[in-house]
Amino acid sequence: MTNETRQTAHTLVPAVDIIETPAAYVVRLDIPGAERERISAKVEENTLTVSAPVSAAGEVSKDIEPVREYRREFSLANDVDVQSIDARYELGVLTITLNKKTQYLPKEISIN
Amino acid sequence: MLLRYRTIPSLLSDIDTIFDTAFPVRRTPSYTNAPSALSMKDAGDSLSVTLALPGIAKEDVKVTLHDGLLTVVAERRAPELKENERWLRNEIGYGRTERSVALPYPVVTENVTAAHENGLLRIVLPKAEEAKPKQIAIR
Repeated sequence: MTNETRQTAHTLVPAVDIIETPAAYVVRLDIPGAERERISAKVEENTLTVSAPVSAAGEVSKDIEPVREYRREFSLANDVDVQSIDARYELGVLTITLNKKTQYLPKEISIN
Repeated sequence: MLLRYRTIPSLLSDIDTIFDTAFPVRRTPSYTNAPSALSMKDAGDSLSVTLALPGIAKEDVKVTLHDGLLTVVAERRAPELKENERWLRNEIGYGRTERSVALPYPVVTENVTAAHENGLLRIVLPKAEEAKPKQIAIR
């Protein structure tokens, strides 16, 4: 007889840095232990949701079922172009670049 | 506190105010840097120590073992902002981190291995022969 007990997922809220550049917002999230293939970043109704499962104690071993989840949501400002969002994962840090819509970019006006 | 971080505290409260209106973050609870900053596991013949070091390159981590004390020193470099860039939020700590942990068993120093993956540093320390578990035959 097997007794299957499913552990309740526990949410971890990752620390975040946000830098604004003239052309984009650069969002960095610390999600150490997350595996690239299992990270999810999606935009729905102007909300960006990032989530990734992670094992207890940050174990990376494949045979340990993840029991916790990183999750954080962001409300996107009107100037974000949701069609051109770029994300990359390196050293346990997820970097998401949210480009601004062209009409919001600073323009140089030449003076005659 | 064993963890030491250099942050930009003077800017933080101002930034939160500006940012919350310009680009509101829906959840602002007590965030975390890691599932657990440091964990130690006894795996029978070895000890395994896992430390969360997100955003830190291998070259910026130093691991030393001395007199049963395992020490990890790491440096997380802060992003350098150009003149036309600005912080909207800074929760990630930058600077030097140092953590030490006393090992509960003697280990074979020569066979210690360390791997750095997905922002986690995992150190495996084989136990010395006298510290390994032994099965005692029952007669």
